[in-house]
Amino acid sequence: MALLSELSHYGPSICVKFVREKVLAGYGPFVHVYDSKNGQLLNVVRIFHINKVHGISVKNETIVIYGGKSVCVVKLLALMEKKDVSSDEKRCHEWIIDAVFHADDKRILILTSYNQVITCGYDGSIESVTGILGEKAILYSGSIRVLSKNEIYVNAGTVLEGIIIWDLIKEKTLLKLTGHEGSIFSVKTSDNGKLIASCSDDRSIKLWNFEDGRLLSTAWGHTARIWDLQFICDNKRIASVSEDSTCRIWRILETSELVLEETYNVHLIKSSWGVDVNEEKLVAATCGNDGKVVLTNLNQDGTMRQSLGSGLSSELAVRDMELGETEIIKGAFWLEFGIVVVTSMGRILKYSNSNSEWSAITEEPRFISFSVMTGIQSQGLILIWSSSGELLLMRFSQNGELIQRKNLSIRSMSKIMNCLLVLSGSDLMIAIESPNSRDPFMCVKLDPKTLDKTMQLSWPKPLKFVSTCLAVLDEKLVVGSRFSSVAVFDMACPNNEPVVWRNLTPGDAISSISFVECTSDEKSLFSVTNRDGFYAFVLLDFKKKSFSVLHNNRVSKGFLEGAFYNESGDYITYGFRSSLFYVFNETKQQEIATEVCGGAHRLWKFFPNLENDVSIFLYVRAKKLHVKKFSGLRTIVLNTGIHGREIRDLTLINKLNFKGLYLLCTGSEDTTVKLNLLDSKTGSIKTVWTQRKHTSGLQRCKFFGSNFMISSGAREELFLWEVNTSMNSNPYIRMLASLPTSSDSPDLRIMDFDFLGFEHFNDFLLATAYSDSAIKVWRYKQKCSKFELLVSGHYKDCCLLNIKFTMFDGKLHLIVSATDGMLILWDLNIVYSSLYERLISGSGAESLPTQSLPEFVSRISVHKAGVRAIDVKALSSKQVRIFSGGDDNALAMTDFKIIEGNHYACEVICRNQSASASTITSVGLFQNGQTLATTSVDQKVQFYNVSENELNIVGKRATTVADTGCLAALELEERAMILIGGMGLSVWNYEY
Amino acid sequence: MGKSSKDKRDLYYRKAKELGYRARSAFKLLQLDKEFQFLDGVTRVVDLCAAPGSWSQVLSKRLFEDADSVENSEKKIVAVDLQPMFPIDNVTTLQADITHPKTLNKIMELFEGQKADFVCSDGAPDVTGLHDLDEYVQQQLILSALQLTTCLLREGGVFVAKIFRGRDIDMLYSQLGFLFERVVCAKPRSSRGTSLESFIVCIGYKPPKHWVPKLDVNTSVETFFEGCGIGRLSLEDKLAGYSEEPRSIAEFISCGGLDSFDSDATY
Ligand SMILES: C[S@@+](CC[C@H](N)C(=O)[O-])C[C@H]1O[C@@H](n2cnc3c(N)ncnc32)[C@H](O)[C@@H]1O
Repeated sequence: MALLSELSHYGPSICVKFVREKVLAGYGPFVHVYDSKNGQLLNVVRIFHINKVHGISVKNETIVIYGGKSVCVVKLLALMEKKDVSSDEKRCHEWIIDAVFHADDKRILILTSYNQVITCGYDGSIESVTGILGEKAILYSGSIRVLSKNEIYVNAGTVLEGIIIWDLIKEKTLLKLTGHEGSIFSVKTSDNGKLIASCSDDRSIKLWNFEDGRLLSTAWGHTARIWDLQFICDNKRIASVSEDSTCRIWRILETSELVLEETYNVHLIKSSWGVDVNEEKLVAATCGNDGKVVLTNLNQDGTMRQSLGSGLSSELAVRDMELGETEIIKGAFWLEFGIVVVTSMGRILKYSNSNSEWSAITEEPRFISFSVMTGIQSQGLILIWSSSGELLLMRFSQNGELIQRKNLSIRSMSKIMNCLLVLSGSDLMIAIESPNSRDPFMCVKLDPKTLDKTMQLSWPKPLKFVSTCLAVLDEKLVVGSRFSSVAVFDMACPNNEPVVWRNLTPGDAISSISFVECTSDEKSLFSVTNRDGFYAFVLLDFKKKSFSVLHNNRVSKGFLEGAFYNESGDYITYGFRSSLFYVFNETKQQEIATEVCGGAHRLWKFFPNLENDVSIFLYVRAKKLHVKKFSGLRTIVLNTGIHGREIRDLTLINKLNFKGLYLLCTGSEDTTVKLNLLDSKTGSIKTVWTQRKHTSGLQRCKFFGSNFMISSGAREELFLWEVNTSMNSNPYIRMLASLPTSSDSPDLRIMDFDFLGFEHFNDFLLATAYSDSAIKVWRYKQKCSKFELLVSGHYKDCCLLNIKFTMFDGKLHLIVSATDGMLILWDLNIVYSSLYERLISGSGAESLPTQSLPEFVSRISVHKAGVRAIDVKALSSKQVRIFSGGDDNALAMTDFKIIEGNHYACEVICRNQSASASTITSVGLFQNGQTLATTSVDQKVQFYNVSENELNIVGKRATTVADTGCLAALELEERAMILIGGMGLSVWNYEY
Repeated sequence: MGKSSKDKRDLYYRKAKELGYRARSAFKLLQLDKEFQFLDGVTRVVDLCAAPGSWSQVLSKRLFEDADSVENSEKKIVAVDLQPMFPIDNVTTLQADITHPKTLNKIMELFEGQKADFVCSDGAPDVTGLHDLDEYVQQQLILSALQLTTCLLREGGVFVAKIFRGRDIDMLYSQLGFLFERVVCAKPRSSRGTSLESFIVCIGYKPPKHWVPKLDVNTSVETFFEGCGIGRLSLEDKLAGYSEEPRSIAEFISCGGLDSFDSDATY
């Protein structure tokens, strides 16, 4: 057998544990060791053969790790240095619920799912097995609390009968705590032995008195089941994680009441499984079903609600400002030294961080009642303007001295509605707009040093144009507007009309536009955000006055005010979700910061990406100015994981790569399609984009042609995507077209599709197979980006599972597999040849009438149940071979042949009825069709040598990916990479 | 079952409504029986994990088709579930946990010392989403049902239970092989192909000689099966190292006819 090795693995992480500054995370059968200070992955070590790591306990330098029926005692040093310690794996006879150290550093205690405690040495030698009489019913959770040598308590969480607390030494039941509904998922005793906290199916957390078992309080907040909890902060707080994918911090009041203090959205979609807190640093580590391992700084009062300079909090800053009765803040801006503010009384004030004091700068009657403030951080520059055309520029030194002041009056406009200030190279520019459509759109250029006006330009204002944001690049003013349009004003040719592009994104107002990079052919890439939550990357060609969208997507929820690439190349978005301001790492799919500020309608300003990874958010609420300092270090993503739910399909081809990394698309039950980069040496995967076009779980995704990808799912959703790898900043992917739907049944799924290109033509054929037995063939018309229905019909009424085009005897055929165990063949040559002729004769643009699907020409029963997966190989011009795997555990090889006189013959060449213990979910040929790989739900991956009339197994391996459902092979020189998807993703190297 | 909106669109769901079954699951038992005919001539049956009761409805209909038959007095159906059940004609319901040893005595009392011809279990625990834990709990449920079965079933009787064909299913097949003449994995058409659900049909109960199943309040499932070939590990003085456990693959049968309604299809 060829050499097979697992390169990398992504999937649910069930437990995390701090060991001082290190974080240990259970990751399938592995433990990942991270450095919490810099977020680096220090080591990956295999702990068990196949069982997953469910829990970790630590005592000094020794670690006990357990999962399923396996347990292992290792030294921290071994976890740091070794790659595999599974030779030390020990098996218990039952599922292990908890394993901890005894008081004496020589033994461990193991709690099993049947409520027994095994006391054994580090080497596994059993000393005793302890239980309490009559309580053998199964546990879902439990923990052992060792207070001292003679005080060891077992907290058992049952399915039906609440919590049983028993004394291990006396082998006696102490308490039975009833009150929760449903199964108990976690129960812990505080380390002072005074309190018990528990959580269950019923979504509540209960706090109990250890002395007498009294229920002290019940707290609600999580919106789904709670999986784990822990006492923190000297037993004064509780951290909990839940199926709702949040981590919550609860404060225990003197009265024993539990108050929800903070909610962190740490994981994607489904389930945060584990939490641990570093008490000293007040950092929480959490892990989840999405495979993410995340550090969250809980120390909000210390660093988050950051004191400004010398211990002055935002609240104080406001109090000291002393506004008049009716005076309100009209504008505020953050500079290096502090804050500058303009009020409705025309007062301009500054706040200095160094002495924590407010002082008045000036009072300007012209700014009474209406004024707006903007500025440029790096220049220490502030611009205040009024609707009457009064502009005031002020420059401050680094320590807050006003060093320059310049007035400007704009008289040529009837009224001013917007002034946008921007610095580009050595030019300082103010774009000025009036609400009056007859007024021009004006731009004033200033000398950035003297602030003297050097040039004033104006253009007729485009129709339906209301400017919202501005970027400047090489003498071009690129102005974002409402109605999702962008206008370009060329300062080099002020006589030219502005170029206006409309409908750049769905939605209405463009909220930000920023330059990303230039191409060698002088096109410029801009990032554009739309307030309605869409964002796009558009390539503008100023010369040809054309644009193309390279990327489009929308944020998961809420409004979008802006976005930028940070130093690590991650795309960061920010905006509002009802009353919340959020900052989100779109690349890592991680919320980085939030502030409840009351919503977007109030005065606010965000200063992202300042020095030291700090961002400042200023806002006015209830007349008060609030300053929130976000440290980029609030959240550190140790592992980005992959999808929040099962991966249903994955696709890659070796011609698509970006800077040497292969493009990999994954489609998941979580409704997203991700574009990832795969490193073919290490097998590591980095997600670049998470596309949210689908509204239901994905079924399939496949790359084809030079740079296309198609994805399909329920609700008849099928999208055509175009991938672009020519930029330097990132690969990009945009939705190009969607397939027309025929019904509004949310259950109607496109189970599979296939495509076939025409030589020399950009149009292609698409075949789709549906869950209602429908088969359709479409032609994609490149010119208008639309699909045209050519053939439509039904097989029977059973669900179809796979569809493949095949050229057979020089004619187009369609092979379909269904839940009735059949492989069915259609001859579709008439459709193909008539279309091809049209394309050749140049009449391809005309539309063709829809034909009904003809009778199939041949079919054969191959499986006893649904044919889950097929792959096809042409044996000769007159013979095709189909490899199929089914619900019936069988793997088969079937041939269709054309024999004399246009008759079809079909025959099952071989069938292995018990190829696996469970449904075969995918089959894939690689190595020029010489090797076949299969995956099955029993978590097995098998490799077969394909010979003329046999399939010979050459390798079989267990995979850690549960719900094993799809595979893809990437053929490289002398080897292939095999990717296996399901509840997670793993990458294997297969050397020929 | 039959609660989510997805189920409501299902053809079997609509058919169950029409025919007065409490759940679409009824068709699974009907299709299994059509294939194996295991309900022919049975008189005493135990339906474990029976709520809301559609299998009991099927059993009641099958056993008491002929309303006035004299043998009817011999017949008995006991249905057990954690959940309370609405009464069904000719079915004695029992609210109990099948993993609890006391449940056995309650069922035995109802049978007055006689053995059952047929035991079925359609039980499923609440899933957490942790695949390995869910599979383990499901297997414990099956083993508990099997435990009851070994104490209740006559030799030659049939045991049917819901299984999920996941990671360790081949270990379960291997274990069942010790107790029955034939073990088949059957998938009724009414069970969705996309779900891991299938049913083991264990035909011809033949407990190993010299093994007397004895359910005690304090024995765990593993110790219970000790000595009959199933209990893999007796408590040794040391936790064992890793070794592959015996696995085997059961014969697969799809039942209900490939032409019957397809539960994966959209109608
Ligand atoms: C799929 S339903 C059974 C449906 C039933 N066969 C019918 O046709 O109506 C599964 C049942 O298993 C029950 N169950 C799960 N664990 C159990 C246990 N330990 N003891 C008894 N019943 C249990 C649940 O309460 C649930 O009603």
